[in-house]
Amino acid sequence: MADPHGPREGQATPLPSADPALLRVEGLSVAHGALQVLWEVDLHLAEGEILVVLGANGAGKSTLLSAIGGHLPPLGGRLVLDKVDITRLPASRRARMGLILMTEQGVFPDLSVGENLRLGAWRLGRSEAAASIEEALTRFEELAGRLRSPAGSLSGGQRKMLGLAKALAGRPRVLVLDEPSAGLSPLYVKQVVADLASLRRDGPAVLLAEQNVAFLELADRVAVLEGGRVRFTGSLTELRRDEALAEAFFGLEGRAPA
Amino acid sequence: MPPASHGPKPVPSRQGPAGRAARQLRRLGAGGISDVGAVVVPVAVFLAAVHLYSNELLLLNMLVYAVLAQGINVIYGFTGYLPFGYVAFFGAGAYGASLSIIYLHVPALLAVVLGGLAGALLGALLTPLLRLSGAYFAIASLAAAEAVYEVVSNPSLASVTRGPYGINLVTAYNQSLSYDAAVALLGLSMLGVVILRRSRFGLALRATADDATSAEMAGVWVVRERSLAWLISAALAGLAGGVFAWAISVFYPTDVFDLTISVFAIVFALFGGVGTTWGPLVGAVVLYGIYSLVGLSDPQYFQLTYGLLIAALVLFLPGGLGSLTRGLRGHFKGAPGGAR
Repeated sequence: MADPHGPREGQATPLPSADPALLRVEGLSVAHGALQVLWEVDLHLAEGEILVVLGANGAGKSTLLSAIGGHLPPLGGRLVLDKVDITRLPASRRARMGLILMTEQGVFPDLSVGENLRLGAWRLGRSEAAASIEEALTRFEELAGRLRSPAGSLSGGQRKMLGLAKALAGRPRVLVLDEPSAGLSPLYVKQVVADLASLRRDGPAVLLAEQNVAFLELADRVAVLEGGRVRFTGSLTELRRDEALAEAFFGLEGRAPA
Repeated sequence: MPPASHGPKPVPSRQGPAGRAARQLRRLGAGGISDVGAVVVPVAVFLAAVHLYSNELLLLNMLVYAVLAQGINVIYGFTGYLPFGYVAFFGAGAYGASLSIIYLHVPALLAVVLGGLAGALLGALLTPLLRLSGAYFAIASLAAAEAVYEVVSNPSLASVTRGPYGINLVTAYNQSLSYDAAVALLGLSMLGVVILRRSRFGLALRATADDATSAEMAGVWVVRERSLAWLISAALAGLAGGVFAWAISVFYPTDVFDLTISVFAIVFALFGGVGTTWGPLVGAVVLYGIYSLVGLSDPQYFQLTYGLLIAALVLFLPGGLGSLTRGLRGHFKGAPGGAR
């Protein structure tokens, strides 16, 4: 192996002429001020696929997601959404194209639950927004009774639920989730995983950054970030086969399930 | 034609709590009788008041301050930007209206509109200030107001602005018409805030004030919406300045660029509660009323009363008087958003 930090994906597959990737990250380098955090990251995400990005604190997960969302201008590289180069587009344009980010806060605390959902459906036309909000309320019935309450008055778990409902209300094509488990009790983590799993069929493509391995059961593919570089991309099985990585993420019980 | 009940349910999702909630949500966007009242009642009260109470100047000042407080409401209550130099737009409006009467000989009502335009133009000129935030924005807008005052009152510009010698519009003076125009302007500002509270634009603004980054991520074009609110707020102050200039007809630059005007408008708006429809108007009526009762006859007690009121407000009602009524309503109806 020439480059120990390079991706370990089996073999470099040449780009097919009809690009199946909905979102493509090409050689993305990003810095926070003078400190470079990401180094030539390559990732791709196909229609309907769930890609889980693993990495320790400081590996660059959040930086990667905010660069994809449009909040950090990259030093170099390209972002392509459905064959459109979005590298220079502002965050609001990306959102209107269906690239929707759910951050750790996720909601507008001063606004009501209903207003949060309306903002989630911002990119849609009036009637489509009404339908998608209704859909979200069917999925998250707990929110339906609290439309007028300020989002800030919800519990942590409900707030996360609202964040997810809000993100889904926009009928995203690519849904980017930054640590959906942060600050949640294990029970709610299970709930969020179940919610995401229920999206699978004709749902959006999902890019999800996590430290919590509970989310791995959702993953079609896994990418591991280490020190701002992609250390691994591949299936979960392949990840478990990699002893060093498996131990880092699964600990002692690491390779237990076949 | 088979009866509908035999076929697949056309809209099954309309049933259940989600459907009910979604309908409720759609209704939230619709206006109600209270919205009409918010425009009609203040207009009617001020139109009647001038026949019942002889101090027309007091009523006029109250009206002008109510409009300015609503202007502060638009920019601060809906976007979180607090412009201490807000009086610059008022002054620009006063001068814009006066100079167009003097030089263009336009009818006074049109001059008031041009005053609003002057306010909006100055607002457009100062849009870059919106890149600053918090205290920096407040201070920079204050500095900008001082700069505008220095230009307008500069003796070397006396041939254009009359410099420090002030404006005389005696030929255009019309006491009752200018008062009615001020009342109409108050109605307009109330209507504007009602629309803001109901509209998609207003929601975009409140989301931006809450968390600009998240608003951007939802697809809100933050810079455009914020600039638009800024221009609307500036235009309102300009219109208020235009009406004021017309109504008093003789004034000096210090009268319309007085920083006290900014401070009063801000305090009135905060006292009543920003982000609400009625708050700024109630704040202006109550506090300007107190100011007129106590402030003019016994300035020393006025300072004390005002100081105590503001301290009490900051300590006990940081959301303004408006939060008091909201709290009471919640008390009687159960927890806000509770099942009804």
